[in-house]
Amino acid sequence: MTPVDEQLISRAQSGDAEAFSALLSHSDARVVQIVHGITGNMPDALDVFQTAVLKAWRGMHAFRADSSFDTWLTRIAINEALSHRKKATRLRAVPLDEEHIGELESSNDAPDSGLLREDSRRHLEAAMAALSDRERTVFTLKHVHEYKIREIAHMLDCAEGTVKNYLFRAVHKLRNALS
Amino acid sequence: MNCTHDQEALILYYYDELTAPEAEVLRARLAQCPACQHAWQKLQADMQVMDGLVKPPPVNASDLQRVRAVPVAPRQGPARVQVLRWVASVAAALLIFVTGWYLGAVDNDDKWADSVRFDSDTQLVRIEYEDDESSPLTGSIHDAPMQRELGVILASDIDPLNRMRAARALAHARIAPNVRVSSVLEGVLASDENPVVRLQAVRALNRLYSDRSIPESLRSVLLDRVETDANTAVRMKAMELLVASEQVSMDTRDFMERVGSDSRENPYIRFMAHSSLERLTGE
Repeated sequence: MTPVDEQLISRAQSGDAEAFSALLSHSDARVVQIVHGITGNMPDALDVFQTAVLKAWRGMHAFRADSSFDTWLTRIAINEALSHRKKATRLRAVPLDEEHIGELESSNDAPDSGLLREDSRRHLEAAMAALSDRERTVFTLKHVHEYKIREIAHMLDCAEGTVKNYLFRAVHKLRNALS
Repeated sequence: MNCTHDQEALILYYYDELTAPEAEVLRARLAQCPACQHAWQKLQADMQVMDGLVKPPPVNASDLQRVRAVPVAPRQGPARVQVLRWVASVAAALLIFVTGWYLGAVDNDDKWADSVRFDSDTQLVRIEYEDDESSPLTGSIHDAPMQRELGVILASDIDPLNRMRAARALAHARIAPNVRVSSVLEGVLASDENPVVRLQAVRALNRLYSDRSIPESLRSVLLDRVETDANTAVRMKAMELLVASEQVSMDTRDFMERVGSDSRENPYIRFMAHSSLERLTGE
């Protein structure tokens, strides 16, 4: 953590909203992308992120310097996104992955290279949607955002071995979808 | 060669997650084993396809500006109690230190609670966690591990509903006096941003100290709450505990006189101040 970050955190903990916004600006786009990986659409991702930002602002006094602000905010956002997904899944009559599978089954594109790539993309999207929330989250954090397993374990509040297992399962399922 | 193990090692190697000695062993194996080489090349090819297909979406800058604009100014107390607030802040800092020590001594694995339920008949608490792998915790509120878990939720859970339920459980339980639980509740009363959580915390403290004298740190927090809390119910409950403690001191007398003579003050709080003064002075 840089001295500037420490100063911003200290000011934000004293109620300085500008300092808090400055801290947010370091990581907000990336955190929204991570949340998008869980919610599956941008409007929900922004709503979830906004709730996470509010919780982070209200909980600044509880922030401890044993992790970076970035990791802490990501952790709050992931928890919020997983909770959102849980509620959304309960409400949905047709699960997201079944919709995607239905789209794939109705597809009868000709096998030229562009369409093959599109086909792979759709297969991969369907496979991503079929992953469990935790598998998808771990894969997105590792493969897309290149966090270390240690950091992901901290964000998800679980053991590194658990993160590895989620990652192995996700990679295995996605590779199966490609083959 | 164990193929299952090797696939996992290859994935970790791809993500640069093996230690230097582990990576060295794997490289030596790749140099010798054609099957491993083939598996490695296939993995790299699949990962490259995924790189091209799994891309983070662009995020609109104006959306981010809107989200960043969410924070609002913190709650401010009246200027006349700045000194008292300073004393209370020092007390709160000490409480947070004690709470931190207490929580650190218990467990660093602060799982996120999904729900907290308390049955006042059986005095049993059930805590469910958001993490699917963590089993729910059920136990008596009189057991130290359960009280510690509720303390962790009170001090660190980001969901105010969970904090409120944890405080409510302690407010409705007939637990034995406990300095650690008391410290956590004091910290919550001094600094939690949610008025319902503060209200439940002060109720729990009322119950905990129903027939005992209160510690000096708690007295400072209560004086501060009565003067500055934005929630009238919290102020009333804090006043009730101050008055019930009947601890005579010059500070308390001055405070009661000031509150009792303030015509803008809540009538119930003024009444309690007068009653307290009558007892303190014997008039």
